[in-house]
Amino acid sequence: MKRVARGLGLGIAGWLIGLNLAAVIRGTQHVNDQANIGIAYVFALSGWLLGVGVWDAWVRGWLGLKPKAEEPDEGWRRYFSFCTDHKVIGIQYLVTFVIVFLIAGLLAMFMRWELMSAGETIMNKATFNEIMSLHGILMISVAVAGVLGGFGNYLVPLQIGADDMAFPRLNALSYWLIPPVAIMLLLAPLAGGFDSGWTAYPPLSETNDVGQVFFILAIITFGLSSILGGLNLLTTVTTMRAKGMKWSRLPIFTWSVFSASILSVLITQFFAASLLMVFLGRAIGMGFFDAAKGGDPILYQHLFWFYSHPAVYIMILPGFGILLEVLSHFSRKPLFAYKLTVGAFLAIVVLSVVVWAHHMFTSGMSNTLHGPFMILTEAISVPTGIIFLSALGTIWRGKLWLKTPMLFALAMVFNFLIGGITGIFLADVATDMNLQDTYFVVAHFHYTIMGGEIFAFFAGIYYWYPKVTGRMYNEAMGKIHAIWMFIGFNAVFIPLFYVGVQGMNRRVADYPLAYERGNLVASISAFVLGCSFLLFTWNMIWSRFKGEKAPSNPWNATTLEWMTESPPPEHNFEGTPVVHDSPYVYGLEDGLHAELGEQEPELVGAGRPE
Amino acid sequence: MSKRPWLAPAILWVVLTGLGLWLVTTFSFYPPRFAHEANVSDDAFQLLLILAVPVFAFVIAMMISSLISGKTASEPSEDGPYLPGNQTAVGVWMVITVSLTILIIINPGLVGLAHMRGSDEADMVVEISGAKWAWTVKYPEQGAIASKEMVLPVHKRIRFEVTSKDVIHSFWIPGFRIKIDAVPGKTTVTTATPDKTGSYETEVGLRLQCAELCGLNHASMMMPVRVVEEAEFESWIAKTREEASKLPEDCPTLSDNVKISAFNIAFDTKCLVVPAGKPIKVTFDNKEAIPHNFSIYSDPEYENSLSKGEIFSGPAERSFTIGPFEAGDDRFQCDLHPIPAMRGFFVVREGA
Repeated sequence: MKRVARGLGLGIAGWLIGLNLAAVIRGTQHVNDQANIGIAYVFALSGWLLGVGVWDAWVRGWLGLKPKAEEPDEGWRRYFSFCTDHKVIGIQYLVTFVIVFLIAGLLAMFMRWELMSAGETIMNKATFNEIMSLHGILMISVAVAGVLGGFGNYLVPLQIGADDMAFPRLNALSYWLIPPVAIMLLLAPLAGGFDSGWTAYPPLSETNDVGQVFFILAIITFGLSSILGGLNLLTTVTTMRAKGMKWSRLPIFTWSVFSASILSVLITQFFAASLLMVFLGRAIGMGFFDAAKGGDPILYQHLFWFYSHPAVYIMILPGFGILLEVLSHFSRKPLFAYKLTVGAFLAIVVLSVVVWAHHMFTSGMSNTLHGPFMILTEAISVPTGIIFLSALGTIWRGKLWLKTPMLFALAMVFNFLIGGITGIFLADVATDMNLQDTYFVVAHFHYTIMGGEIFAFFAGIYYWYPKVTGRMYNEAMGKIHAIWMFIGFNAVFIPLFYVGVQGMNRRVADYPLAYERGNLVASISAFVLGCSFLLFTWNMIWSRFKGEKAPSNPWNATTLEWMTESPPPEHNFEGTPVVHDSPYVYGLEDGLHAELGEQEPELVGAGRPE
Repeated sequence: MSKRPWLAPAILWVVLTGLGLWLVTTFSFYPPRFAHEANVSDDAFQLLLILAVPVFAFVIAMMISSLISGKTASEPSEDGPYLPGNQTAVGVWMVITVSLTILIIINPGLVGLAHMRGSDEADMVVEISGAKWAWTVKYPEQGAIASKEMVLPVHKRIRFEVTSKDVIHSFWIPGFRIKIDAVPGKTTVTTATPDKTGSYETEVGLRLQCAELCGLNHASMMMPVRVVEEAEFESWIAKTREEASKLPEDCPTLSDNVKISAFNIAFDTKCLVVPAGKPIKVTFDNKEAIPHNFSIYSDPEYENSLSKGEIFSGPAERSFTIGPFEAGDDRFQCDLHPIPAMRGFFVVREGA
C-alpha cells in the first residue's frame, strides 16, 4: 500500500514537472498541447514506476546503495505491493481484469440500452461513440491480458514444476505498468474522450479530441507490458522446466501460453509504433498518414492489423489451452492428437502474421492483394480445425464429468464453432464486400472472443478457483451461471448476425427503423446476459470466505499444479517435481505424469538466468 | 460400450445435416437485391452456408453423442479408454478439412473475387465524395450534382469513383452488396449493375450508408438511393441541372458587405449580389461543429477558382475581404460540401 501511494505521489509529481518543463522548453503554455502531454506522461510513468518498486528493486542496486531491509508485506497487502511471487502477480492480473471486464460489460449494457430502439434513447451520439470506443479497448485489454497475464503467470510455473518465473522482478513490472493504462483510459473522457473505436484509424484519430492522446499513451504502455510479459513466459517455459519435463510432456495450456507469447513478443510493437506515428502526426504534424503531406491513411491499417490480427490469436490460443486442458481432465481421457495440436498452435502462430489484410478488402488497397490474403486466411481454418479434432477426439467415449468448468468448455466448443464458421464468410471477398463493417462482423468476433476466449476464461476461473483460493466455489451457482451465460450470450448475438445480414452497419448510435426488432431482442437478451455476472461475482466473493476448504486435487487431475497444496506454498512445491510421462495418462493402469521427489534445496531456483 | 460406437453419432449427423440443409434452403433471410453484384454476394453466402451445415452438424452430433453416452454428475469411478490418437481418424479429418478449404478458396473464393473485382469497365461513371457527414454525388458525363438522393438508371454498369475530403468514410449500398472506403487523397473504385428499380422509401437497403466510423454523426451519414428506368433518369438529370443553373428570383439587393451562414450542411442563401471592381466584405457565420468554407468560382462547373475561403468549424463567425471581381454570374460554394445546398450564385454587377 505504501509503495502504491508513493508511486501515485511520484506519478502526479512527474506529470506536473513534465508538463511545466515541456511548457518552458517549448514555449507553449496551453494545457491541451499534445506534445507537452506526451512529455508529461513519460515523466509521470517514470515517477509511478520508480515509486511503486523500480527504485527499490533495481535502481538502488545500480547506484550501489544498500538494499532496503523492508519487511515483505503479508496477507492482502501483498496484492498492493511490488511482489515478485508469480502467484500474487497472477491474482493481481486476474482480479484487475475481471473488474475491467465487469466495467466494460456495464458499458455494453448502456450501449444496448441506447440501441434498444431507433432514435435517441438515453444518450447522444457523442457519448455513444465514446462509450463504444471505451468498451472496445477495455475488452481488448481483458482479452489480451486476462488469460495470458492472469492464468499464464499463475499456472505456467506450477505446470512446469518451477518455483517462480524466470524474471520475477520483470514480472512485477509488467503488472505495475497496467494501472497507468487504466488511469489514462478512464481519464480520457475528461479530455474530450476518444471516439474512433479501438482501431483508431487516422485521419479521424489525428483530428479528434485530445482524449485520443490519452488512449495512445495508454495503449503504448499496455503494449510494453505485453511484450515484457511474453518475454518472461517464453524464457520461463524454455529454461525453468522440471527434471523430465520434455517439450512433448508440457501440459497443453502451457503450450498455448508459449505460442501466444511468441506473438506477444514479436508483433506488439507494430501496434505501439503505428499509434506513436499517429501521436507524432497529432503533436508535431508529421504526416505519416496524411495524404496532403505525402502520407497514406491506408498504411496505418496495414501496420495496425499486422498486430491486431495476430492479437486475436494471442487472445484465443490460451483459450484453446484452457479448453483442451479442461476437456481432457473432465473426460478422464488423454488429450487426442496432442502433438498434432501443438503443431496446430505453432502453425496458427506462423499463419496469423500473414493474413492481416483480410480486414481491408474494402479499404481500397491494391486489388492484387485480395486473392493472396483470402487464400491465406482460409488456410488458417485447417490448423483451427485440428483444435476441434482434438476437442472432439478427447470427449469421444470419455467419462464426462459435468462440473462447471466442463459446462463452460463444452459451451465454448459450440460458440467457437459458430465463430469459426462465420469467419469464413468474412474471409471470402464476395461476401465480405457486403458484410464488412456490419453487425455480422460484431456478432462474429464476439462469438470467437467472448464465446470462445471469455468462456474459456470462465472455465479456467472455476477450474482453478480451488487451487488459487484454497476454497471450493458453490457448484450449483456455478452451473446456473454457465447455463445462464450460454443462453444469454447466444440470444444476444444470433439476432445480431441477422440484423447484420439485413444491412445494419456497426458502430452506429442510431439505425433505420427496419432493424428495430432484431435490436430489441438483442438488447433484452443483453440485460439477461449481464445479470448472470452478478451471480458470478457473488459466487466468487462468497466462496472466497465461506466456501468449503479445497483439497489439493479436487478434480483428481494429473498436471503438476494439482500435486501441491491449495493454495500452493510460496515456493510452490514441498519437494522437487520429477516428470515421468505425458500429463494425459488417463486410462492407463500405471500412468504417472510426475511425482514430488526429495527436497533438494540447492536445486531450487537453479537455472534461473539472473 | 457398444460394438459400433460410431453408429449413433453417424445417424445423428445425417439427421442434423438434413434438417440444417432443409432450413437454409427453405427460409431465405436475404434482404431484397437490387444489383447483379448482390446476386454474386448472396450466392457465395448461400454456398458457404450449405457447406457449413454438415461441418456444424458433425461437431454437434459428436458432442451430443459423447454427452449422452458418457456424462456423469458425480466423479467418474474409472477413466475413459486410453486413446491418445488414431491415425485413420486424423488422416480422414485432414483430407476432409484440406479439401473443403481448397474448395471454398476456388468457389466461392476466387470465382467470386473475379466477379466483384474483375474489371472496372462501365457504361457510366458516378463520382462520390464523402465529408463529415454528408455525401456528394456527381454525374460528370451528365454534368449534374446531387446531395439529397442518388438516382441511378437500371441495367447500366456503373463505376463509382469514391473519395473523401477529410477522414475515412465507406461507400456502402446494402441493396447492391458493395462497399468501398472513401479515403482522403485517393480515389477508390467499385462497380455495380443495378437490375431492379426501387427507392429507399420502401426498401431500407437502397441507401448510401457510411460504413466506416467517421466521428460524431457517422450513424446518420446516409443518402437515399433510387433506381429508375433510363427515361426517368434522363428527366431527373435535366431537372437537377435546370435547378442548379436557374438564378433564384429572390436575389437580394446589391451590397459590398454580405452576410452568409451555414447550418445543417446548407447555406442560408442561394444568391448574393455584389458590386464589380470593389473589395467585398464577407461575414461568414458557421453555426455548426462541422467545418465549412466559402469559395468563389467563375464557372458553373466550379473549376476556375477566384477566391478560396479558410476552412473552419463552428459555432464561429469569421469576417474577411475578397475581390474585387469583374462583372458576371459567378458561383460560391463550400469546398468540403460541394452539394446544391452549399452552392449558390455570386452575381457581380457594374456598380451603381
